Amino acid sequence: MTFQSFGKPLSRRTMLKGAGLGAALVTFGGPLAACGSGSGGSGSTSTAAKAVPIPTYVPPVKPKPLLEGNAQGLMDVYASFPMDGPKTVNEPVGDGGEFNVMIMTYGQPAPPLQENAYWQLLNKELNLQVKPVQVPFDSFDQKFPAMVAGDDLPEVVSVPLYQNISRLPQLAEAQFTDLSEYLSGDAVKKYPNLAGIQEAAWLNGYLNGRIYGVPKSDPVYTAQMYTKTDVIQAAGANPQPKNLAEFKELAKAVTNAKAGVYAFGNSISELMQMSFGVPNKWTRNSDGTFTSAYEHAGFVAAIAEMAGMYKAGYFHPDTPTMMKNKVQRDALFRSGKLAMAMDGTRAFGIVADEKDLVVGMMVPFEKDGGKALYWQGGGAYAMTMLKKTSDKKKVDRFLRVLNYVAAPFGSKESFVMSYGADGSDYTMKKNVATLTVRGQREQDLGLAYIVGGPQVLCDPQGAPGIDQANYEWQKQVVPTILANPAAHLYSQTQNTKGTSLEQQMQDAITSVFLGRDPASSLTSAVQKWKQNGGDQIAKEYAEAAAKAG
Amino acid sequence: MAVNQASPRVKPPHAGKLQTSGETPPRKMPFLAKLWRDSPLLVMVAPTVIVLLLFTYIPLLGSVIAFMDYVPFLGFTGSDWVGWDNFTSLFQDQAFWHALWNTLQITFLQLLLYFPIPVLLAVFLNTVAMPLAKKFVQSVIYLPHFLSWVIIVALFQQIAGGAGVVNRFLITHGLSPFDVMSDPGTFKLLLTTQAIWKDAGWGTIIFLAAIAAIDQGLYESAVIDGAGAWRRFWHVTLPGMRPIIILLLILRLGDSLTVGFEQILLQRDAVGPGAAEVLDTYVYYNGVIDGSWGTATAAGLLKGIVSLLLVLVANKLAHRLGEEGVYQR
Repeated sequence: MTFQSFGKPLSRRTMLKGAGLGAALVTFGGPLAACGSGSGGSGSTSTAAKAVPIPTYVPPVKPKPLLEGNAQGLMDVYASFPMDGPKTVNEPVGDGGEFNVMIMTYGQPAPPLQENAYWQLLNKELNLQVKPVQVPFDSFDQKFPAMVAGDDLPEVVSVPLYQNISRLPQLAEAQFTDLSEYLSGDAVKKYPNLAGIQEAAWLNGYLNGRIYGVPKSDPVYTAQMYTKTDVIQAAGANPQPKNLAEFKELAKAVTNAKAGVYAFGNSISELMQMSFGVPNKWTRNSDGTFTSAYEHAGFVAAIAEMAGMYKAGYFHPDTPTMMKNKVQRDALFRSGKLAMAMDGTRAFGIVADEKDLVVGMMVPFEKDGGKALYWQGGGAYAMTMLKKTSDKKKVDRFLRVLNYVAAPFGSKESFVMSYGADGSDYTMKKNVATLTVRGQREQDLGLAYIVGGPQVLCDPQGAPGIDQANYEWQKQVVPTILANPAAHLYSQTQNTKGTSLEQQMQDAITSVFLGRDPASSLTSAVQKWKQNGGDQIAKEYAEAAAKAG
Repeated sequence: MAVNQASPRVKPPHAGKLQTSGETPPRKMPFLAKLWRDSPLLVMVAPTVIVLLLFTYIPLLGSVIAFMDYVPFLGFTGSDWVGWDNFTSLFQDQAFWHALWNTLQITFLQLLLYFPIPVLLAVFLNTVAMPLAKKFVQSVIYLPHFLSWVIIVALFQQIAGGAGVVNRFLITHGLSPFDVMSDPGTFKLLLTTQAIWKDAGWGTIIFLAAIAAIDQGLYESAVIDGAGAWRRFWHVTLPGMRPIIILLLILRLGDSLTVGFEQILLQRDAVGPGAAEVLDTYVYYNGVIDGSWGTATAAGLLKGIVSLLLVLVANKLAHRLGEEGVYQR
């Protein structure tokens, strides 16, 4: 497993899928693709100014970590799940009724209830009949609109924020419950584990200035560049380049077309842009106006550089078709046919997961060896909403369930969520809880994705030292992260046209990347983007920022 | 389905019977009596009519969305009427015209390259004398029709893709690889090739039926008159198939703005929208994914109207040329 979110267990398998997630995030490598990153799309942009106060933060009790994280987003590392943690939920949770929840998942569907000890245990613990409506990540963008159009959404809906849902604020207002009175300010203290979720995540739950969603926290950074260290070393290259020239040397050294080994299998546009100093989606100028990262001088240059590497043959020949085929890409990476893979943070699963995989994470570099920057994520992976109801009992039940699921790492509830039933889902080996294959499989239920506080690193079953390696990586990256000043600002144009505008830019980037169009075409694509709505979005952000002060 | 519509017309002398039965006897018969007389036929046609009503005609009412700023969760009553705005923005959208142009190019290519192939295949198949061999070949060429596009695209990818069998061979032998799967320039040809591989065999069925319906006596007379194989084909087989070929051509014209959504969607990312955006994917990305249901419906409506006009015009033309067309006058 990988990042245990404070509490929820992303099982190793979950992670795999998680990987998928990442994939999805970075597919086009566009800046925006990344979930958090400006998540141009998602929650952030669709959020109007806050009309109600942020839920009060009450830090959860946490067990003593092996390596201590910090408030900036560096994660705590644990050698194993502490078995002597506190119980955080002392009242009954459910009422024995059904709990229908839509969850986007990355793996195969979980085994049916009768065969699923984990699910049975959860039902018992929650005193509910949990009925997940699982939507595979690769069909989410088709299925969700269809469910909305057909009025088929279940009672509880969890939406990954990187999925751009058009008119989400309007949708929320029409169909979901305004949770403000239950969560805003001190009201959240009734659900202590939800109070353990930090502001950066909560901001994503705001729509129209009010709280509609309960968030699932995300790492503070966006994607990571994973390196297959053994392949790189066998080629005599340096897995940690300090500038662009060294990075290109590395790519050249590891590529061996005859052996079918290539440096990359998908777009690395984010990494390239960051190395060219391209800001995180937007820049707020001193006069209060906003400028898009697309207008930064480094943007076209970064994509041109990437296109050059594609032309030089450092990318797998299936790259054009593989950009959306995460499964194939992961398999190639694992088998050493790809030396590097740029992926979303949850993709850490593909590496932390396998004991024998020799992998590392590349620390970002600046093209000339100067001070590197890294894009900050949006603060949350998903938010979970409740269908419109005025029944306070229903709302309370919903929040009590989320309160259980959000129990912090180390708590008894978190252990249940992470490890399931003793004997069938996990066994104790030298006092370390170890998931069985069955346990990993049964967690495909997906509840881990819907809500939770900060994540921690705890992969006793992964490659030795992988958590420490990630910790070291974070230690270098977290201080360099750059926020998106437009995150959590509202723009009407972004809300209605943002998705297609973004798609056009991504298409333009891909065209240049794959050599279909010259790099100069990006300049006109950016002009078009500005005319078709980009300028309007900038104006609206500036107004929103001025209003927010 | 096509077979049902078409087969009665293969034999012109009998074809008109059902349709014309109402007219030929002077309309003395009272309505109820006619109803009673036709009742078995009406019962037979009822399921199709019901399906058409439920899944084609009733949904047609939803076309009003084309004149609304439709938001699914607000519904028909809650969404705003915007008049012709959706059409205006559609016509102003470069991407729409681009998609239309791509669609027409693909249609033209398929008409040129794909359409004749089932006809030729059927003729060849018809000349295979051994029934067993004929059955075998038929089974083999029908099979791909039953594979989904996902599988077919994957097959092509495995064989001709950047890391497919062919290219791996080329790379390991020091030759330069080629890439048909992600080359926007040849993408439309690739689409047509895939369509031929998948459906050309299946398409022969209707033509084989047409050939089978040709009076054997005509061939015998032709042989007696000294006609060789080519002459028999030219003067007997082809004229016998002509009504069906023209019928299918007209129907194909009606479909000309529909060029295979799934097949293209699956491969769009590999070549980019520049080469692969067609009307259907345009509607999909702008409507379903983007939530601009109004504009997307406007595009769909437009497509339907253009298709209808094409069919009517083509049919008219067929009548002028003395053919039967889709329906008789």
